[in-house]
Amino acid sequence: MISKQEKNIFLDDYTFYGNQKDMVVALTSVIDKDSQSKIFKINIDLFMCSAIVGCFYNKKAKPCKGGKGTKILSGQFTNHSDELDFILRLVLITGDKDKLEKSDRLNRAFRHKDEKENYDLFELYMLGGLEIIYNNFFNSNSIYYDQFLINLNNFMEKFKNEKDVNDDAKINEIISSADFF
Amino acid sequence: MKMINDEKSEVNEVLDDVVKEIVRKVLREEKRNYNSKEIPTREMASRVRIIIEEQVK
Amino acid sequence: MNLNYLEIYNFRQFLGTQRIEFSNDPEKKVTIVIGESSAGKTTIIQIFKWIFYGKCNYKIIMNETQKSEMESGDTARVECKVNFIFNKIEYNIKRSQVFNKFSTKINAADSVLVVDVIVDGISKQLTGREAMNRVREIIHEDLFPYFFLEGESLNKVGKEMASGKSGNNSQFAQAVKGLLGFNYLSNTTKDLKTISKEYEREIEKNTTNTQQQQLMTKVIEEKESIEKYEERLKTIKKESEYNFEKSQEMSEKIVKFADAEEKELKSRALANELNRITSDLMEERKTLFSDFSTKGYMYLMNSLLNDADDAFSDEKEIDKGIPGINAKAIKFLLANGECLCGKKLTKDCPEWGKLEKLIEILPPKSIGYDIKAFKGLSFSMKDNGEKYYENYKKSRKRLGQLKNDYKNKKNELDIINEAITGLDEVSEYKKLALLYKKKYADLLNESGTIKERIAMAENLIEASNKELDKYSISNVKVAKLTKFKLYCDHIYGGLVSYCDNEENLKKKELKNEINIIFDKFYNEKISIDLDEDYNIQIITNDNECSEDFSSGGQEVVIALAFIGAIIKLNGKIKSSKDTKNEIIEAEFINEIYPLIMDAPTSNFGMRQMKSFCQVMPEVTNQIIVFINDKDGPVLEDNMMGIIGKKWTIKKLDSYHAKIEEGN
Repeated sequence: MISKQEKNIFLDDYTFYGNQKDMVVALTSVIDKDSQSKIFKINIDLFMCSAIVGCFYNKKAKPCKGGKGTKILSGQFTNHSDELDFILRLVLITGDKDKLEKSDRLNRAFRHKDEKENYDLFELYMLGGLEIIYNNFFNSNSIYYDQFLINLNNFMEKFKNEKDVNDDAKINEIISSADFF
Repeated sequence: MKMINDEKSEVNEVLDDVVKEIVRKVLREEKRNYNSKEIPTREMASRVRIIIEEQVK
Repeated sequence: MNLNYLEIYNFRQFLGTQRIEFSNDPEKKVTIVIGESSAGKTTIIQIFKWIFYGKCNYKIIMNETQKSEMESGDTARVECKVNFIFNKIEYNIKRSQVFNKFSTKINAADSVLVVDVIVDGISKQLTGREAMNRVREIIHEDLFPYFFLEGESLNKVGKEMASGKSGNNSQFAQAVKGLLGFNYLSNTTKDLKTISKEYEREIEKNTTNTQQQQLMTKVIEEKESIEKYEERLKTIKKESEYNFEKSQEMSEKIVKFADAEEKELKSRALANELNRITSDLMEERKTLFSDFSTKGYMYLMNSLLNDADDAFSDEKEIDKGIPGINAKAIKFLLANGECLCGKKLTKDCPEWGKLEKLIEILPPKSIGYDIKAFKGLSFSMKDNGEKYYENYKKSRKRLGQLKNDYKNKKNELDIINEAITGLDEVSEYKKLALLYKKKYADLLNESGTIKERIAMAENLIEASNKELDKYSISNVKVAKLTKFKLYCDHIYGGLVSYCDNEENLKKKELKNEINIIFDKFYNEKISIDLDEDYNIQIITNDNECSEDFSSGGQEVVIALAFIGAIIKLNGKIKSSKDTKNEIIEAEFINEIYPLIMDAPTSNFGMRQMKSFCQVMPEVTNQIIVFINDKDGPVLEDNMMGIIGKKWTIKKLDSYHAKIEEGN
């Protein structure tokens, strides 16, 4: 039997080190003095988003080690446990599409969810996603709020469902050709 | 002793000739002085007075 | 008066003998002298002034070259001569001045005036005082500026007239009176008044009857009081005009600023709005990202959710179990070591493994429930994700809107702020306005009081005089004095009423003549009115025209119209029925003076130029115009038929000019 307590990263404090810590700090710092806006309010928000992004792009990254770190406290994990479980399952179902069969992915997501491998996978995707998010928002132009907004918009565009796009196009076609006005 | 009124009526009778003469002389003097500006105003007034008194006699 | 020629010798830039001849052709009465700026046009009018009165605007009248080439012991001479016909007599008026240089200093001797009077071929020479007097008789210094119009004086005269500030005692009013022949008359009446007062005093002194004396004293005192009061009234009039104007000025300023007060309020309101917009903007900015932070992931996971849906299509396959059988049942069978079919179950038999495997997939180990729950959550995530995205779009729109609003309001604010200046001054202006109004009111009151006092004094004088008439003349001396005074007063009365009458008549004529000339310029759309102080009031009957009128050049027109009218009046000979007036009339000279103008048209537009060229020739018999090379050709074109002579002043260098006939 597998111990549920073993290396369940959602139970303990989690610490980012090195490069990754810098990225986390940047993404959770104030980007616009006047409005006090931050891209991500708290680390856990970034944590969840990164996992999704990493899985979407199928990018993994190993955790950095050493030096001063920045944490997510276990309390935060508890507060968001439902969302985290969902995201974990989602990652397990959709991750490694090229390596695993659907049945295997479903099994690991629902039957053997709490295995160490799964949490490891989650972490890898999360750190990969973190990098992608960081690179998207922080480039040479990122000084003013407006630029960050542009970066956000570009980012969102990539996630737009093809289906949605086609729907939009279809709707636009109807609007322009039909005799509403 | 004449009354002032009598004096007035007497003047009215003789008026035209004497007055014409006075006016002629006075205006000539004044005009001359206006052009030459030789004589100061005070003195001019005296001159006019002399002309009047000469004629009225 | 008809000018024949002007001869210049060594006056400033005109070196050597240079001569201008003026046209006296009645058909072609215009002489035009063209010169580029600073060629010497203005100098020539100054030359006339110098010849007549020994005065001009220049400190140095010698030619610069001549001056610098002088050595110690040298003498130089400047001499100018004008020849003209006046009252059928030919005059040669010449003024010369000699300069000596001793070591480094140049001394100027007094200039010498010589007037040659030529009647029927016989010439008589006048010098010194006599010469000066004759010149003054012909053209008095006070009147010179009105016939020899220096460019600026035309504007100045016009401005004075147009602004209505001439006043009875102004130079201008005096000049007009002089032109109409009244100046020495007013001197006469003043003198007569003085004499009358003298007589009064002497009579009073010599009267032995004390009562008579007292009455006379009273009369004299009251007359003096009246004089003082009238002086005060004059001062009050000036002061109250000033205060009135100033209070108007303040009111205008306040009105301008009332606008500013409004603007100030608007500015504050806008600033507040801007603050509100700014804080909304900041809020929106922050919210946009914080929403992304908390909800964005739900939108981002959309694609993955679709992938998951895809994966669930295999769900049925992996969840194959046996209906009605759960893990507990299988465990029971295994524990008992016997299958449902009765076969014995041992750990090493192949069936054992299969049954163990079943435990894995039978409830409670089946995942269907979990999958269902997952699907449900997935659906709501999708929904929330879409909602988030919609809100995100709206948020961005709002942001854009707020940015726009901010920009627009800031623009408005900037514009308004630019227009507000010195609002603090308004309260000053308000204070001053009140002060001036009060002063004005006080003066008005005072003037009322004084007028009453004058009336009282006059009544007293009348009463006293009536009393005096009852008395007899006390002695011979007094009798004589009384007689003298009577004549004096009588003449005074006559002269004053004559003057008033004549002046009024002449004023009316003047006004008419001016309006006639004005009509030619402005086609009856503008007329003038002269008040008792010779102030011109301009009455416009046409809005369009009044704009045209006030846009420049009109001062010149006014001045010209005025002078033209005076010249015309002067030229009229009047017949009179009143014998007394005959005497006075005979003393008047009826001469038509020429008009000499320096750059009269520099402020003229095309229309005014045309009118000017049409009207001027009507006004006098001889016109001499000095004009620059820009306006010259235009003038020539417009006055083509009537230009009798044309001269050009050629500027050789800064110190030399040459007058040539023609181009």
